[in-house]
Amino acid sequence: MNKAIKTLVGVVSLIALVNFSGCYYDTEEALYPGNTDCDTTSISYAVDVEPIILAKCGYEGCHGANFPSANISLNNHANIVGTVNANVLLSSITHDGNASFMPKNGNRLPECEILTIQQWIYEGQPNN
Amino acid sequence: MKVNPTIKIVLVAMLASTGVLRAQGDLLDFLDAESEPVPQYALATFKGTKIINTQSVALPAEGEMQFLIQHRFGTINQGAYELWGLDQASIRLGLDYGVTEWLAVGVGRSSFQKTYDGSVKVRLLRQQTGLIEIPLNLTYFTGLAINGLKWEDPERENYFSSRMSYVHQLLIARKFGSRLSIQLTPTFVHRNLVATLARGNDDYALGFGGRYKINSRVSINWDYYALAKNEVTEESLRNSLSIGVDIETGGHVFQLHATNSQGMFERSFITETVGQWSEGDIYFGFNISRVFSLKN
Repeated sequence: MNKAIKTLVGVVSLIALVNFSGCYYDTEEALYPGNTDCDTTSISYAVDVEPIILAKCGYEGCHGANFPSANISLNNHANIVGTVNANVLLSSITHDGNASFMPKNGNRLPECEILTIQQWIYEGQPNN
Repeated sequence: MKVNPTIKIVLVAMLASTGVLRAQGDLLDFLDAESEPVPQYALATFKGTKIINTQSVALPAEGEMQFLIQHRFGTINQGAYELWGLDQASIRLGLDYGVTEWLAVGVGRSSFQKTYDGSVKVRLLRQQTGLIEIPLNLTYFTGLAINGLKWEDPERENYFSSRMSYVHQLLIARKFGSRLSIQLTPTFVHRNLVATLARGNDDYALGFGGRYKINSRVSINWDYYALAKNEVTEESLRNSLSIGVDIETGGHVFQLHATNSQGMFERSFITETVGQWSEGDIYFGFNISRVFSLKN
């Protein structure tokens, strides 16, 4: 009995030790300090918004031009604005509960990318 | 041969007076005194190794491999076009193996965030009477999860450790009578990389789960996590609440449930739940398990 208890204590200690020893306390703001500034003062659709949406949403196999998922294309300005006007785009990426959370099965977009898209929407979705 | 009842009574009285019955009683007492008391375990505190999302105190039996399929559809508030979420699906496949009666190991893969997970579960105490009195089950669970998504920014220097997160849980459960089982689950979750210092790498939560048996095959289950939030997570995160039904069909335990959590591994459903029940962010889903004996 004593041997069994000693073995049990040994195994639990070992597992706990292994699973605590791999811990790091990293933050993105400390590891990548240049990335924390999010400038949304002059948003351009072509420069700031479209690259994010094409890379994260509007590619083939997802919301691209051909056979888009849920029949929602996000491959050009007109289609993106249509989705914005249907109150779907911002809800999806901010996970506010009014639309499916996107990217599907993925992490939320980085906060700066969400803020960039949000600011562009607030400014009336110009094709600039 | 038919014996008159009066004669029966007289015969018994005579036997008693001669000490035969007393001798039998003494023999039984002797046997009781000689035999070792045996532990009477509280059986089937939970039928499955998971209550719904939460690990239960149950382990796979020694030498048995459990194959667990977990499935969550999309939220039901998406309307008829998405068939109330049935058009979307997220899945976790898991294997759990009972190394000994008190030790189990497991691996799994979730489509949600393409996450691989590994776990160890150790039974520390088992509710029992008889030999000794132990009023509850106590199990230690620890797991790690590895995010398998492509790097958000491949240009910067990324570290493998940034993909990893850990969970440590004490599963404290008691079976009350034959129908009701309750489990408390103090939980510590650590993620190696977070966005900001204010978000914090560590999260603490207290789980409250249970099972109420309706009949020999069906029970109602629930699990809930109260997450200790901070000023960053207060606005964005919700407590996970899941309610379901367990149906036992021989070698399978079939669990049907509704939950506001999409992920099926600990870090995700305890510390990343954003769905709100009141808004209809409810994922319908099921767990189905099949046990294979690997013991000769």
